[in-house]
Amino acid sequence: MVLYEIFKVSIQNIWVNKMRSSLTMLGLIIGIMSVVIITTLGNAAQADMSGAFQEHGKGKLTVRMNYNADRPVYYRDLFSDADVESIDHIEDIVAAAPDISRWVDLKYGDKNLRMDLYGVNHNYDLVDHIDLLQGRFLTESDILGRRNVIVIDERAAQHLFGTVEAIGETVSMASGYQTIDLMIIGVTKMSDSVIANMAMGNYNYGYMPISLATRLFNLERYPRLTVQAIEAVNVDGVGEQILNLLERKNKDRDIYRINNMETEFNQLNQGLGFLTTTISGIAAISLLVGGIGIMNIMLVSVTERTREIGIRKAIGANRGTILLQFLLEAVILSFMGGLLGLLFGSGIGYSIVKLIKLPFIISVDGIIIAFIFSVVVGVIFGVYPANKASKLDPIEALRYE
Amino acid sequence: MIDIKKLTKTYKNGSIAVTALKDVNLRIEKGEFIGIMGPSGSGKSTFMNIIGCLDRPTSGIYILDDKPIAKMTDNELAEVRNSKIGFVFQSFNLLPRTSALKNVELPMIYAKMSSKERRRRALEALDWVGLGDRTHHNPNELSGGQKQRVAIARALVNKPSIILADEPTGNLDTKSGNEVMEIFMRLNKEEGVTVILVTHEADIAQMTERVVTFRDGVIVSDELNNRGELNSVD
Repeated sequence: MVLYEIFKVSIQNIWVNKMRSSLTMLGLIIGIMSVVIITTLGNAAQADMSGAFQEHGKGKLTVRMNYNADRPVYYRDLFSDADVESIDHIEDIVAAAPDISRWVDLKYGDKNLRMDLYGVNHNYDLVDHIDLLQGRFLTESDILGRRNVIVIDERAAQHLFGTVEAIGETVSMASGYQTIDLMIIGVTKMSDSVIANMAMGNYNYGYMPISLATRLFNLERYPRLTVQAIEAVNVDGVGEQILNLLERKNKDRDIYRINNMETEFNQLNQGLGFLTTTISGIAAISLLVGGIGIMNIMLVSVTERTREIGIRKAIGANRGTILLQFLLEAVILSFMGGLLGLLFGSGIGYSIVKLIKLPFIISVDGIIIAFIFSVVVGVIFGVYPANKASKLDPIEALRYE
Repeated sequence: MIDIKKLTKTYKNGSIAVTALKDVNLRIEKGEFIGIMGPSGSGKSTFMNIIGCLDRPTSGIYILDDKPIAKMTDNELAEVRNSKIGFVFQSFNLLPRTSALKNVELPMIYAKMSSKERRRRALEALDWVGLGDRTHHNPNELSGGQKQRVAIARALVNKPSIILADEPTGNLDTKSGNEVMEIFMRLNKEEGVTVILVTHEADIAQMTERVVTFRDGVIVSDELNNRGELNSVD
């Protein structure tokens, strides 16, 4: 009841000094706004990456040679067809797909393009989700027939043909001293993840039959294997099974290196989270400045209203009531600053996120933290002036001109 | 109902102690109308501050309505000021930018009264001082006399035992001053409220029933008006 009356008086005082109050709030508005924008962007980036991971990385393992092992990697250590087949038979595995990759030059008319070309099997889309924009992926008959066909990515098609309608076109591929003509059978779609696409930069990639690659690059074995585990299975456990199997095949388990995409993703995510928190923390320093602004204006207010404080005390307001009135005023100022900062921050954050086509995630944590922070700032920086007001001697205060 | 014994107040001004009141004894009965006189520096303001529970004596006893005041905490004093004492000041001391009604409601807010009850009593009090038609005016829209009447309404609205008026007519012209004095007299006669009025104007003091005069921190005279009787001076 009394609290409600005090609250009304506080609101009134803030309202009467509109200009002063809004300027006071500005510091806090900017502080909370910056924190909210940064966390919004951070969350958007995390959601984007997490989306990309769900599509391309979940339950995925890559097995490659460990060139840092105690002994050099020999040719026999690479995966043979028999190795791949036995790994493919592990129960918890959807598919195990080997690949050979080389940097090659593609030529079409007067257009040139450097491309990371993967020789893969037709089952490769079981281990890495491939979204086709045009045409088709490699089929079993492409592999068995060792056909001169190629699937390229959207940007490569745009670069070479100025359009993604490239099916049936023939490009010439140069690798080392060899040159070979390949027919385009498919064009893959760019990732939905903005960050993944940004990270790709000018990277171009394509797929050709692995049977063709082994012949062109003169290899019978594969240096890399991508494995897709079935859902809801311990991916690291699958990795262990693979190593055990390789060991049984008289191979040295230390010569292999297994990357769990999830682990990598989590590390990346953690890094991003840390970055977001750190930058937010730096932005939060402006909250301190905003708080000092509030304290300053509250001290002015206490001095200005010395006589009012004297009157209120003479009439029966006790110390606690006076303290509460000024404290509440500071908290309302900071809370309103926080609220406005949150609104502006979310608005700006939303605009930026939509502009660069990242997903917008409303961060409940962020909202709660913004509010708690603004109230805490109000209390911390409001206590001193409010205490000063409450301790005024009523006789002195009444005499104050 | 006010009983003051051997009341002493000393201020420490650096290393020099200044005695504002020295062994003052005074008894005020319920329903009295007292004028306090004395030149500036006589100790009457200090006396009023102590009676008004704005200040504590250095030593001595002050009993208000059977309660010893001298040892009360700040919060207890605030409550006594709220419930038992109504202040009227020379410079009105109304809250600026606040309507007459809201000003009068203020002491009742601190008495934790409901808003309905506050409004009813504030309107009643304003009506009683003759300002029933000025309830929504802010102090800057009122004349000096009207401001002082709002202040009186504020002082009486919590039904205090005493009203302390410190030079209430000091800033008013004679006509408004007289109107204000009439209200005090009416308050005293009709409502039986004890009124203690500090003034340096003899003709204002004449309107009270009993005049206590201070000089150099002691009471030098205490006499009844009209009857001319002299009360005991210790």
